[in-house]
Amino acid sequence: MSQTIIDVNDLKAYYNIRTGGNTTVSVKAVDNVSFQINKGEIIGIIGESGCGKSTLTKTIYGSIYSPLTVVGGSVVYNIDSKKIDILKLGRSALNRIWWEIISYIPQGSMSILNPTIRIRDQFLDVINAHDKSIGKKEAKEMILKHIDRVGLPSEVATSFPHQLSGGMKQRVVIALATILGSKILLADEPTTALDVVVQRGILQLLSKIREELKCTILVITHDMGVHAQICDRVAIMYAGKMVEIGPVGEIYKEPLHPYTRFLIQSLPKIGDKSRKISVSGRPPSLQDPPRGCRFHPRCAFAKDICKNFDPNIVLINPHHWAACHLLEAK
Amino acid sequence: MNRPPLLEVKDVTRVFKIGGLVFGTRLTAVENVNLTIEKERSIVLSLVGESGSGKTSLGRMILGLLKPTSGQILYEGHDISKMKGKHLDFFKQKVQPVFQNPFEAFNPLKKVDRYLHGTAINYGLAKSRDHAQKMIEESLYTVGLTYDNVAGKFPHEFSGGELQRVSIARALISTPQLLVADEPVSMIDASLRMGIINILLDLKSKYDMSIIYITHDLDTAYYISDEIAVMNRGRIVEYGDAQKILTEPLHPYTCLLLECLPEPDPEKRWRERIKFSGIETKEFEVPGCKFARRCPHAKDECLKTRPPRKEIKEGLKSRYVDCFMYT
Amino acid sequence: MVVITNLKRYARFLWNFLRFSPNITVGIVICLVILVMGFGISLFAPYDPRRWGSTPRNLPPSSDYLLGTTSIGQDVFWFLTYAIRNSMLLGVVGSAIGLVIGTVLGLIAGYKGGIIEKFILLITDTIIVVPTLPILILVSTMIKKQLDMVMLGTIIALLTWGLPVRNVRSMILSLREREFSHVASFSGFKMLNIITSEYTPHVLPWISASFISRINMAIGMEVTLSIFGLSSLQEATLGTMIYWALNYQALLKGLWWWILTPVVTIIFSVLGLFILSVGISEFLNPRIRLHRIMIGEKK
Repeated sequence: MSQTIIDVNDLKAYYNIRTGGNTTVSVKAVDNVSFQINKGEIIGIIGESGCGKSTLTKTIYGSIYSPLTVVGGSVVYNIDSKKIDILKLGRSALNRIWWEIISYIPQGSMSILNPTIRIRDQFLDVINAHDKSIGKKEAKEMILKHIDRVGLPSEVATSFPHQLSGGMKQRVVIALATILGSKILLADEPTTALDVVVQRGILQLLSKIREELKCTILVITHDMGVHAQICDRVAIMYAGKMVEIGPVGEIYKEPLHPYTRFLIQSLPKIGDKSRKISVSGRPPSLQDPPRGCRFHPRCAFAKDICKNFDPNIVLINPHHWAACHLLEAK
Repeated sequence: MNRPPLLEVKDVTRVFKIGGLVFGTRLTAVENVNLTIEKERSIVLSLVGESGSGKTSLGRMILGLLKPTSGQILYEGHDISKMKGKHLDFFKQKVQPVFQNPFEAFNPLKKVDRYLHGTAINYGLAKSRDHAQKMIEESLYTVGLTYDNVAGKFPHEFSGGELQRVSIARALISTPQLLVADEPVSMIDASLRMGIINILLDLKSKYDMSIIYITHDLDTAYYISDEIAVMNRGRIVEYGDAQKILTEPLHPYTCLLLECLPEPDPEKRWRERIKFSGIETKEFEVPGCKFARRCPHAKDECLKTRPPRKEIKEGLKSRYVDCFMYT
Repeated sequence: MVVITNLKRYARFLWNFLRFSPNITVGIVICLVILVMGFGISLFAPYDPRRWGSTPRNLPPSSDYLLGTTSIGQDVFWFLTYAIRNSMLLGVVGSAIGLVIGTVLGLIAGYKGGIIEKFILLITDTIIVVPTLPILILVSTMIKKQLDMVMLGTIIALLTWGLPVRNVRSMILSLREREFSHVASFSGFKMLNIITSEYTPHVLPWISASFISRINMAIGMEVTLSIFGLSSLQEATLGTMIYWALNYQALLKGLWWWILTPVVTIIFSVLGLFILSVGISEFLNPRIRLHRIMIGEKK
């Protein structure tokens, strides 16, 4: 029985933006999302740009800065039998958790490496910021061992970021995120802008980290192939809502939600010259989402009920559910 | 039938000097590349390879944005680096780019229709404002947009996919004969890519246009291409019919690229771990085959000498691979 | 009808501009005060304030003489208005001419490249290296008698046009590599159009900040010259005011109104201009501008 390490319940996180005069606009980036992350698994979140997946991740991490506001719901970590309510923690408590229990690798993190400092010194900075008791020599040994464990060549430690390729930098960032032994990794688009060979290297690295460092990893990407290769479970988000979640095999073999089905069918495959179609239209605005099921304007199977009522969650089996009116009939 | 080819890349090499005056090194981004696109047949030629393979540099040289260090690029028989004035203008109409990042392709402080009107009017293609309007509307229709979708808007008001369509529409206004698309869909969500890829595919038949499609994504390359050139560290290592090469690859590098495609099927997961490429610049310095350090079939001679070319005759189409394994 | 809607749009734009940040509001207010003093009120001077002996000497501020009088019989207040006018004139002339020369050369060097760029940079670097103040002192000593504000401003401009060339050139170099430059080129736009239409909005924040800081620099140079008595001392400028005050030992004699007036005015104007330039830079910053466009012009 897998243990829940993060429990997200009815989470609502909106961006409340003041536009010019006295009006406030509410962008409902995460609208009533509930799911659990199990210990030791690799779970993927798929969705188009603007569906709220990055916001969901930031909220789970606890990095909530205005205009982002948590309007409702909870995010609770379950570490070593202790429950930590992330949303209620103050800055200093969060600082102790960040990097030591959970790490967040934002999109485009290859560019966050300080170009004027050697890689090893960036590691030293991170270590010093958290634990000043570790001596410099001890820290350097720790760094070299860790770099080796993640499969990076040792010369990386003494290099500057500009001497490394994009893929190498991304691996360095992943190593930085795990240097203090954090057990949960949130990776937002870790392989976008990298070519296929490098991508494979990064995904292998993530698998390796899960096995050897016993980490739990959340991967966000819009690339279905990536999810199929490394994830155990996959969640699909659309317009601020989670529309389907389940084990990776089931999702790819028998996708339930029309959006998921469309995502899978639109992928080009070598050996297949048949015409592929992508989902038509564009994702709805999160300020003013459509009534009822948010996908109904683009759904080929939309019925009247879809236009008026929000679909309920339909449990297909204890691990796999989808939110769609068409499934309720079965 | 002896018309000069539409595009001829003749033994083109491009060397970059990186680093300062004293400690700089030279990086050969593109080395002795030869390509030809005939005028009669409109084809989609894909340049595939990892980042650092030289495909983007080659694309820029074809567009005239970068000068080759040696070799020539000929458009309809004329050297593009020597084109001036009206001749250069003509070239810029007939060879148009589509760049990777649509949000960089437009000035964020300017409205997008400026470029649409510009392309129609600056080359004297439209006789009047109304004519220009019509040309723009036709172009937008081809990419699935209307003038109202686009009028008066700034780049940030569009989504990535829409803006890339506008990019393509702009390029079409001057009825180009060659479109150079540099990773046109890599910054667009996977679920929306096929819409744009389909537009490019249709251009070939509707407009009698050839496309050079630069990508590292073999799936879309398979879907759209007629011919494919696989590049590794500046050299073309395999070239020929796209379907053949991607289903029956010969060069070990092509095999690696195909293996690394993340197949969207959880039953078909990667088994082996691949070797990491290490610090990249070292691979460039190898005198022989640049892939030798990572190649599972590499022998001593691969590192030292440049692999010879093996030509394979398959009906009318040519195919070749540069590898010791086949000679 | 169209004229009225356009006017309304401009008025609204102006109002947004003024309210944008405290920097702009404060800066504009200070500048307005200075301009009004220098170019408005100075027109009402009842007599030429430079004339010696037009008022009783050494009088402290009173209702007849708002800022008192000097030891040579001049009304400090009216002298100030003339001084502001001349200093500002010099500042603007020196700043503008130098900026125009430097910007144009920088644009050409950046866009054209090649041998033209090398040639322009050669001359520019020579000009940059020439030390402005000593040359200024030399020149003004030689032609002291005929030195008026416009001429002094021009000389300052000719000595300081170097730095803008390098700054503008580097901005153009980076803009030239951005993809929208290539797209503009493939859309048939020519060099001149690209530079004025595409690049100018990106370069504008720097130009406006530079213009204002150069005014400050020019005023500073003039004050320095005048304090040492090297400028045309018959002219009324902020610098000459200080010179004459020092010459007549205003401090020792307790004539604080004579020495403090120019000093406070200089500090006030320099600060005001600086604050304004910071505000304008913020306002014109492409990213902030984009944000405003996004929020403001949503239909």
